[in-house]
Amino acid sequence: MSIKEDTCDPVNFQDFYYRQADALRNYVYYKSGDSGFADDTVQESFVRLWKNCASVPLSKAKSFLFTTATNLFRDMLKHKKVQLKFVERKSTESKVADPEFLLEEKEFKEKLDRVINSLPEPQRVAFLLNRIDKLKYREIAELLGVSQKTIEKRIHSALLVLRKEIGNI
Amino acid sequence: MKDIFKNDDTYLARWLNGALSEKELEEFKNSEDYQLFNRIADKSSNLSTEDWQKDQIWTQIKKEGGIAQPSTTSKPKVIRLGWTKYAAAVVIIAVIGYLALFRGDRLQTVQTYAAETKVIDLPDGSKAFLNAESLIQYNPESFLADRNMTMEGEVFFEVEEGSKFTVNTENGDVRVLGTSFNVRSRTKKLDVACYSGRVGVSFDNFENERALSKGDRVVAESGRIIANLSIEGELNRPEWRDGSTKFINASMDEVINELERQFDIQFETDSSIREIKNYNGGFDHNDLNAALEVVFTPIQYNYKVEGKRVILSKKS
Repeated sequence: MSIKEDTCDPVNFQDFYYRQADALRNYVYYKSGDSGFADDTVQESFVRLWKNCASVPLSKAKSFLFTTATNLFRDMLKHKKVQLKFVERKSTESKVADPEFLLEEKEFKEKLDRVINSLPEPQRVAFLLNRIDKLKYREIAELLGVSQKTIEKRIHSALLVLRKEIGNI
Repeated sequence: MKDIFKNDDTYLARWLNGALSEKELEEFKNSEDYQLFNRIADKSSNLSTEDWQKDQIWTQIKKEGGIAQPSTTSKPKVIRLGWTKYAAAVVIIAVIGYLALFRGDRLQTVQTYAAETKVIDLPDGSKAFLNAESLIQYNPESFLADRNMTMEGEVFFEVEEGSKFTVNTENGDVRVLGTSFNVRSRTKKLDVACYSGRVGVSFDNFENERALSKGDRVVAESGRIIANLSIEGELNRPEWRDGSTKFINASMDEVINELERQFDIQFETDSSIREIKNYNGGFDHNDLNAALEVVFTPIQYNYKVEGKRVILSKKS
């Protein structure tokens, strides 16, 4: 194995952590809605990866991490009600200081948050990995071990629920 | 309410990633709920999650896994409980720490996706211009002292005068004093062009170094130089900074990958076209159809654009 592929190399491992930790942490967060659990799962998944570094080359490490995290989530005894919190990135349109517009925007964001939290877990995870983490459908499918078509169906359904619930409120 | 996508359970997903055909999109735009869908898509792509304790978790992983310290950093005093404690429904998180004392390990990453470029002001006043699907990573706290960074993809640098400025890539390393140069590191190839000053290129951590002066360009594959070229008489910056790409003796595989990168599209084709060698030519980044025309017509291929997909077939 070349050094670039060697997961046991501490420099590679640190670099890999800093590249992958955000996506993994978000994935567990979307699934569990529990940020403490997400932190601990990231920690445990990477420690397990390190312990198995001799048999997992870097090219396989990402899928090892997501599989490990998924198993840890399944093993968690109690699932709490999902209460995801999101912040908005700096928006270019917020220069418009019309108070009515701003209030409307704020309400829309609150509705959006609420409906996202109420989505069934598979739909929510696929939708957020695409919207927030900007992963392509193919990438999400690979991480979750399902077909791209399945991901497209989940995102389609998520949008249908969002339209219905936001339209109704 | 009658949806035009009533019988299609992936329609909205394909709309969201731009894979609908122009005709479908036109029709969808005129439908009743288009505005609402569009707003949901916009607003949701603008969400992000709150910051988390990435550095502290890393410290904890190093400790628990017994991972050797790759660089010199101070040890923060943070205690976190393992996830197993959650299984026992214990939810106590104790963070005893002097976060202010925490230094190092904090890498800054800037990345571009397909059809995107970025300009980064580095802490020393130097500038990095990222082409599509590229990445730079550096430690903002040590950058002024070591001017060291890692990159992937293609980046043009304008370096302020000062101490050594080092760029590490998968395919080799480059270091300079004050100068401007372009580094393209894709698959196994490293392509470095020097536009002013002098730069050094190395494949063995600077035990051996190849010096480039203004106007020199080298291309290396798997750590060996395969071409020495001159950019004398060209502009003072690479073509991509002005919105075009030029290839000299490239494989069609590289050309196809660059088209996908610049236009955020995906080709569907058999693999034989990717093996065509010695391609000389280029394309502009502002018009997909014009780019496809100029690349594929001369090599006798037909192309068909369907949303974000481009289907290639050999002319019969």
